[in-house]
Amino acid sequence: MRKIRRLAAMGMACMMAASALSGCGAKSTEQSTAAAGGEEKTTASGGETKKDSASSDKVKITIWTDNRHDLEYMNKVVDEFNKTNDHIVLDYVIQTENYENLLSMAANSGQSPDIFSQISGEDFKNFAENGIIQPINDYLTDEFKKVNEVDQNLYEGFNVIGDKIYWVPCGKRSGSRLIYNKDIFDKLGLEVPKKVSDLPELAKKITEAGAGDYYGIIFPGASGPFERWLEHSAEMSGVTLYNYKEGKFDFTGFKPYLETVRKMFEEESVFPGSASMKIDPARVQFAEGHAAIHGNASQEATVFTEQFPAKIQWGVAQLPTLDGEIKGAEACSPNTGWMMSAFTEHPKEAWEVIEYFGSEKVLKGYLEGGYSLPISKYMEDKIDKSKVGRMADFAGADYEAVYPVVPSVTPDGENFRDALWNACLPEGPSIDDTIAKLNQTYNDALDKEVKMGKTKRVVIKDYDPLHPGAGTVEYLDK
Amino acid sequence: MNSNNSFGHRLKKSWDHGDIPMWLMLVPTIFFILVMSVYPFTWLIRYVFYDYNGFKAYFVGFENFKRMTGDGIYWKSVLHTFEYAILKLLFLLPLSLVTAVLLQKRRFGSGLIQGIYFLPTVISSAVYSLIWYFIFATYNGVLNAFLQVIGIINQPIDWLGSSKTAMTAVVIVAVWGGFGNYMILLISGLAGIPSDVYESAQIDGANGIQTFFKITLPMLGPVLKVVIMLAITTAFKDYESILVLTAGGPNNRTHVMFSYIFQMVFGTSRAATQLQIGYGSVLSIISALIVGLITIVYLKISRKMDEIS
Repeated sequence: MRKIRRLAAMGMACMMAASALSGCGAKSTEQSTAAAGGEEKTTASGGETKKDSASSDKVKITIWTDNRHDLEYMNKVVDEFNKTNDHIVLDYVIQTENYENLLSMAANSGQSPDIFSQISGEDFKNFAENGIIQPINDYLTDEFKKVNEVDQNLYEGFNVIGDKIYWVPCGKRSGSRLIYNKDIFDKLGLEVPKKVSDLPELAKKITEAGAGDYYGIIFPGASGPFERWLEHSAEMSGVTLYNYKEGKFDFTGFKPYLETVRKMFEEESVFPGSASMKIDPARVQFAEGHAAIHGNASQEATVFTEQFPAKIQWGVAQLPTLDGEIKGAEACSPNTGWMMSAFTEHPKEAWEVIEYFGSEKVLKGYLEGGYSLPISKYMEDKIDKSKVGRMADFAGADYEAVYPVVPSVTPDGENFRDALWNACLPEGPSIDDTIAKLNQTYNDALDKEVKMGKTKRVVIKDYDPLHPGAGTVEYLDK
Repeated sequence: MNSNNSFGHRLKKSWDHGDIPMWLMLVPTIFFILVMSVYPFTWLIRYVFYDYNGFKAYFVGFENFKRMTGDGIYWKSVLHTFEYAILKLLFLLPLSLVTAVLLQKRRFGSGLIQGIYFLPTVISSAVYSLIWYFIFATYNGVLNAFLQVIGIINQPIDWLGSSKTAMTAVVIVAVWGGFGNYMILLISGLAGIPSDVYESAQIDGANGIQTFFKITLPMLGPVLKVVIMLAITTAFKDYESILVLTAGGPNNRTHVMFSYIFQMVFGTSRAATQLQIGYGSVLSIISALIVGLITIVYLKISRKMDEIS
């Protein structure tokens, strides 16, 4: 009896060991199914997957994106491609969390998608230098170049390194605008502020008139409030975090912004709960008419018409500046571009997909749908502007430009956006101390990382704040 | 021949003692511990001397340790961790004990109430924290409206946005989300106390309070010891709901050790800085040592709980 029991125990142990090991091996089986281009269902964590019904002889191209706003349109584009293309099938996956991290982890573990939507300027250099993405110079066709005016949209350190082109922007996000509740402004007979210093009085007046129903201004305190528009208003006033002429960080110019926001908080003219508010609840409160002033870039055009249709009349205006004058360009972001993984086994087919997404046909619908603004004159002329809806309010600013990429450094302490916002809060640290500390930590980090060879100091001796991209960029090792 | 015999003999002896089946049964567990725990830990140790952003590692020697000693936000987050854990345990343990005692007997609806209290344990903390995020809302928030109706406050409180109340808010969510789990563990401990002990106490004329302090609590000792240890280690490692509710804000007021480390290693959507995996590794090791030290101190102090009178 004892023997039988022991044999049973032994059998169980073997089964457990076998199941554990087979569990580990399951992945390779799955991967081979994917390689066969069959019916395998890819579900990445936090992602939404659009499945295909491919036949096994087609090449499967996996696409990752962090864009959710254009999902409906892109689904149609992908469906049509899958129906009409005879040798490629697309698997279009939306990744919502930690996009860049997920991509780098996927690359490190050999699970990189074939193509993916462009990543932020801060990470671009890392992706290129560490061989996660590959240049697409050899694939660019004349038609693609014509539609997207490739030669006019090359930005060093943003989509290009030297003469290697890694991705091509097919659209752009505007700089930020002041978005305001027209009903409230009209009712109270108010003018859109031209100067930052006008804001506290204006917000106070609106809050008093609102008597608890609506408030002067709203900030998404938990969703990068400083970069939404304060940073851009500073750019228009000639204030940037990096002094391009001298090649060092300088946060001193932000002081009036911190003082203004703190004043509005202290006077209780800011929508209650703003300090901990995420972007979507803030948008909802604006759309419901509970806040008179909000600031953000062109994505709000679709947000207030589709995602949270506004119950009020809303207007879009140029951001206020420090003295009412425009002394610097406002940063806009080239977007709607696709990168090709360096690990793709099907670069030719991957390019075919990128070319299709950047074709006149696809872009016309995309831009007319208001999902992005045209970056090329060619596409601007091709689209029916009457179809772009409220996106038109964000287009056509002649004071926008693409800024040279600031050296990406890791300071010993808070990152500047968190630190600057914390100094805006009434219970926050001293404004002067915050600025002094940021100047210290960022410049120390720059000196250290330049010495380590981790980054290069960017200097533009002929830097012009109104035309930041026009100067001669030098990359220094000291 | 002799050695063969002795090897075979030893093998048979091990087999008879059950050693071989035991080790075979342990193989899967050992394998996973090595792969999922030991290997990542050695990986972590390696990077403490590097500035590693997920792409390229730059050797920096003891720079990360030097930085750690002067990192005000980290040391504040250590203090916040203690504040959070103490506040959480102060409310969570008595609450779970009281509810366990009240709900252990089979009464009408006690099973349902147990289920309701236990529910947060099986819901993702990210999901219920999001619900609490809306409950705490300053403008039209449920909690503020309720407190205003019953006359406790005159104007809404910015629960998550004010440095004065943010920690209280995250502790409320932690207690709400955690006590049901410990309640169930304590109920199973209570079920193990023999009923004849209570009967003799009743015959001796002990009242409810006397029974609780003289019988229930001492006899619950061993279970309570484990429950408290689990509660302490969990409280010191909590960070998920904090990330959802406040992301460590306002002004870093609710940053605990692990929320700070998480942001360092995995980044935040608004950080605009590169990942700091090397420095995050140093902080992880120091934080693990802090939690380990507290657990050891607790185990030393709690030895008495094993001695059931």
